[in-house]
Amino acid sequence: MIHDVILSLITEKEPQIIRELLNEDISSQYIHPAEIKILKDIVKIANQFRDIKKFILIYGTDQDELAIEKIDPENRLVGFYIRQFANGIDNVLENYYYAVTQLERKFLIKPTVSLMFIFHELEKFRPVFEFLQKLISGIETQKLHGCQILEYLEDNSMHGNKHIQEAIQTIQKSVYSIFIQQLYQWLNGKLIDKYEEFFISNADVCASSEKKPVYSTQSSVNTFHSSDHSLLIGLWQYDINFDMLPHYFPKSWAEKVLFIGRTVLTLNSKSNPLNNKTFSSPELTALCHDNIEYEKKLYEKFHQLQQPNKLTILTFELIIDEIKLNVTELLSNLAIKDADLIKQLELFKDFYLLGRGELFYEFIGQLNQLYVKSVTDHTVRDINRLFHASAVSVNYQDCAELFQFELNKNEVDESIIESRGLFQYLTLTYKIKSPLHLIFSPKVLIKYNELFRFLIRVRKIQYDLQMLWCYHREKKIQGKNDIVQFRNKLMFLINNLMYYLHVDVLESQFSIMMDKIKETKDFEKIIRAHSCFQANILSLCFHLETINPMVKSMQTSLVMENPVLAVFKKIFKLCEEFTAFALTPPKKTEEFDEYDKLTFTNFEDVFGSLVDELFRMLSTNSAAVAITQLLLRLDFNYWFSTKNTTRD
Amino acid sequence: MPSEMITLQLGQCGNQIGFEFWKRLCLEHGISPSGVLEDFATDGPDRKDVFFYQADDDHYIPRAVLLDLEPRVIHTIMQSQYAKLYNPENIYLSKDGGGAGNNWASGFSQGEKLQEEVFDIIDREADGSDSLEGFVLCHSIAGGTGSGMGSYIMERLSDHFPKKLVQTYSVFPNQDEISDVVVQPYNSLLTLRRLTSCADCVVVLDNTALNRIATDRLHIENPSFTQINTLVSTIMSVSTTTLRYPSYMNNNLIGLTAPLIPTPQLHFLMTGYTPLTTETDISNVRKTTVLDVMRRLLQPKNMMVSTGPDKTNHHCYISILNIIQGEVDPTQVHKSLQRIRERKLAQFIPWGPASIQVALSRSSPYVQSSHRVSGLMLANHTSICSLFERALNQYDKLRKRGAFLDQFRKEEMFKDDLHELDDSRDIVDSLVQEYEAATRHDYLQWQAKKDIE
Repeated sequence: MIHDVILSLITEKEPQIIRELLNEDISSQYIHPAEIKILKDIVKIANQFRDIKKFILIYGTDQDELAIEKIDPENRLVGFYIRQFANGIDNVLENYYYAVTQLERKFLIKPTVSLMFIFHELEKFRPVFEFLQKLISGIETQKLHGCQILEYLEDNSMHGNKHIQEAIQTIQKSVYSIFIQQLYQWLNGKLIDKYEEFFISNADVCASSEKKPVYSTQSSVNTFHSSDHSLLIGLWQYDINFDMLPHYFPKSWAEKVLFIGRTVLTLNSKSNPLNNKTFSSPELTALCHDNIEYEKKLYEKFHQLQQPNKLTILTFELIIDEIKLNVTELLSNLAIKDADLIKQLELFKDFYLLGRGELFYEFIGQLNQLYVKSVTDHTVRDINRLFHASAVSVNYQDCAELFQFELNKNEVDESIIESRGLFQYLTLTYKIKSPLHLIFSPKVLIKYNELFRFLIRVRKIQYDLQMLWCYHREKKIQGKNDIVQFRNKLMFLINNLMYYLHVDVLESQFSIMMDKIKETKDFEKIIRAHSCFQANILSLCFHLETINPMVKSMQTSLVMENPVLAVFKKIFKLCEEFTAFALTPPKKTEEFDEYDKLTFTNFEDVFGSLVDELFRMLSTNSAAVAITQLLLRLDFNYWFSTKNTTRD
Repeated sequence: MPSEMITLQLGQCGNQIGFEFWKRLCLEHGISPSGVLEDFATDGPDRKDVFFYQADDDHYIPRAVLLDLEPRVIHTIMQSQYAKLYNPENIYLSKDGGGAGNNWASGFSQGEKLQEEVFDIIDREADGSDSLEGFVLCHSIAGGTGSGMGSYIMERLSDHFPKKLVQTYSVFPNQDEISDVVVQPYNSLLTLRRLTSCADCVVVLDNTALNRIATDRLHIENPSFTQINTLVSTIMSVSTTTLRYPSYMNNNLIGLTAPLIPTPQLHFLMTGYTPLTTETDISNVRKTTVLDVMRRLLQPKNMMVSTGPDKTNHHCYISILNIIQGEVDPTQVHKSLQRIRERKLAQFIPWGPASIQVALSRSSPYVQSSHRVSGLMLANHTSICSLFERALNQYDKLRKRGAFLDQFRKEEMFKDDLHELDDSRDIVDSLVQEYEAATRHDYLQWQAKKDIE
């Protein structure tokens, strides 16, 4: 009988005999009534074990199909974490198995072992089992998933009982093993996360699986290999899933992990010989070498983590910091030496920020001769052809080839198609050398394009005014003619705006950024310097929206346009209308008819009021440096301001 | 190759400064005296095609036309190491080689006779460029060929190429020394008339000021032509630097001149340059910052035009363009502008908006300079009329006595009467008046009342 009891301790089902034993009628024949209580307690422990074992059989590595079938698939949890959790519990049970086999051995040697003795031997497992049951039911009821399990374990990890403490550490170690594996993979640029358990997620996949929570085996395996061509775009899909981030990991840490992973992805895509035909170059072999070094280091670091006492958040942070330092230096080396960051930044200035004036002068001139009746695919091709022809003519074709225009046809308002309107729909694209898309992310490029369209509009207006100057020169129109004087004012305004934009803003900020970049080796600082640069030029070019905080909460679409920019846009419109008016061939500038006179007076009036508005705005906001700088240039001889005071 | 320029060098002086100019350009672009690109200059970002074009064997040829009525200077050029640089077809020497005898009328009439041959060259050169923007004319206004033939060619150019700009670098005679050309006042006045009516932009190179700067500032006792011409070539090369090197603005002649010349009549520009040192004079090197440079450019002593003291202190700037080269911190530009405005270092016209435009330009990597920052000012300043007043006064003195008019009467133009001289005087006089008027508030209304034309 005692043997039966011992055997029943590790069976998955309660044996018949035990059940019978519990029946007092039968048991009274064999055991003393006092022992009944002890037997019951032993059976209770065995039942606890069975409970736990059942869980292990469902979720552990050695699954039992029969056990799985029994539970409702709706409630079934899936994932590597839960499996590791179950395996961890299984590991904890090892002690119990061991105790039971010891018991049996003792029984076989000395068959007089009493129930009391058995109970005594097993009693120490009771609190552990209770604790495990609590953990299991906690996970099952809260339906914890992935890294959330880690968090849950950490919450319950402090316990006074030595056995329980040991047990939870064993489980944690088991669960961490999968976490560390995923982390390691990610730091190597791979995200193997079939069940979306990791705190780094692929936004693309998340979106697609949002509607149907596919926690089944048929869900696609999201292994992103570095050879994937869509990688360059895919890079930005990786993001932190904060739901999955255990709260005891700081967000900054998670961001670092994300950064390293992205970086490595980029590096891999570059060093992958399949992707790069020029891999034989010495830089790249060096890079491959660096990569191997990196992996070696990474492996060593993670090896440390396997030691249980090191499994603290501190170790994680230390390791990630070290790796990050390695990666950023590698990256900045790569960025500056191999991808020629400085050159790329200069290219950005030359093209997006119109640093190559002669190229855009030529391009605008060419585009003026292009008559666009309707926007088709040909239009874009023509524009690109003209652009590259212009580049050839100023001997800058090598770099210009990296740039292409794109035109979103759907946006174009057919009613205002003239070559002048077309600029506002152009997008300048650029083939970015990896690892630099860590700097020039799609969002950054959108902002660059915004500035580009603004600058090229100013440039185009300047061009038109110069054409008007030529026209007036050819017609030998006297300098004191009203039209000429009005033209001079517009020209002055536009010229000085351009000087302000190019010298005071773009060149100045660019030189500040370059100084910063040359100082640092840390790629992250380079990124920061660049985003600082972009933020500054956007704000100094009046391109930051002023957001009315009251309105913002209600409706994001009510973001106000920058008021200075709004006035400038009106002035631009005026300039465009005026040049069109003054350049109309049959117009004899000396002899206006009534209508023309009216139109022209209207131009002057509108200009006067716009300038007034501008100056009022500029002088009331005089705290802002940007505005005073522009004001200084525009009002250098106090002409605008004195004119305004005399009018008032 | 957009915005090309064709350089026309006329007469002794024009060819000399032109020669220096091309020497300087070759040096800056890394082109050897024979036109071959030096190895170190093969992938520079500069735009050589504005002033040069490439022959079939890729060597660079200046878009220059060399014209003279007497062979001396051109022969010197052809015997120098730069002889192979020029296209020999572009060198035109009159066959008799007798020169114009320092007589404007002779130069003018010879120009008329030779126009077909001369314009053959110019047309060929113009056809050879993609989008010619204009002509640069180098000449002096005092002699015979540069002034007389130059005047004729200027008149024809504006007929022939109405859309092309004509910019001139005109050398004004030295007032401090007695000229051996007695009819210089006549020559100057007649040329000034053409510069007023036919040119779009005249960069005045005043020999008086250049000599004064050479003696006072560079401490050269008797400045030679070569030394003066080095100054001139510096001005010419720096004033074209934004055309020859890529930058955000001022990439073409229109962009450069249009903001400087708000009213077409007032198109005579002064220049200033700093720091001024000679090659041998190294002790003179000072610390240069953007502010230093911009402030010094506004000092009259650095101006290359001797305007004489402005007693009433009413003259003012119509426009200013500073071209700053070297290691410039762009953030300093704004501070400098602010300082200049606070200190009222520059006076501007009261009848329209005006300011100092600052173009930051690259400088040639092949020319070593001991200065960190250098700057050239192109300024449209009303006080330049004192130069024309001086020319008028000298003319009046001669004319009153009717001196040396015989030389002119020999030519067709002056055979019957001297109305050409009187007309020219009227035009120059009204130019002076217009500059005076431009200092006043009511300038825009002034023209409406007194306009002669």
